[in-house]
Amino acid sequence: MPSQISNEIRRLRFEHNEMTQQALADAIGLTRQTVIAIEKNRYSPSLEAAFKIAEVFGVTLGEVFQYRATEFPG
Amino acid sequence: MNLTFREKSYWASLIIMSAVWVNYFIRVQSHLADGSISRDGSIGLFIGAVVTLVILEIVVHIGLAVTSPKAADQAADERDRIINSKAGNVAGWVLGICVVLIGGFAMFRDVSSVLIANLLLLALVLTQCVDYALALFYYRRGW
Repeated sequence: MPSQISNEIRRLRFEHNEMTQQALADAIGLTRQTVIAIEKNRYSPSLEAAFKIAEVFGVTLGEVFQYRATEFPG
Repeated sequence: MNLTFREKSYWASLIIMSAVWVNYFIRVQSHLADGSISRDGSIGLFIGAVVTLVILEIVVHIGLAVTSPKAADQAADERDRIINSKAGNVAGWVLGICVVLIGGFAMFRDVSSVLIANLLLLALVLTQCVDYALALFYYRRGW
């Protein structure tokens, strides 16, 4: 099931001296495969990991992750 | 396909475990069928299977570690732990159901202790295989 949380990590990596997935993974303490899964919206990171990612890029959490709200029937 | 070290480890363990225990159970089943199994014979087959399993696991995982030393040293991250937990949770249900079924079978049928022991062992092997298979599924497809 695709995650309702999307992200701008790939774009932010390229904007930060073309940071590699491995470099980002090392910076936040996750594996490169987990970073790949996050970028592909196959895994939603913990709040702590999300904050660390935002801190690496020097942006707010909302600039990295976007939540697609579910519409509830009225 | 970009496999993590843990995925490679799970694949290796799943294949080794399947090969060793399928071979074991085929041999036990043939002995049970012709009535030639004894407790000592069953223990001998079991020890042989365990020794083979341990040796293969050690050799293969040393090989994996040598080819990917950095990945082998890396601690499990949050996704690894979640996958391990989710797969283990389902595997626990599988084990519980198997044990209940075997217990029921043992209570209502006159069966040998060797057969009961091997059915329980089969349940353990099946549980572990489900654990590995589910973890591999979660790594590839998420949840």
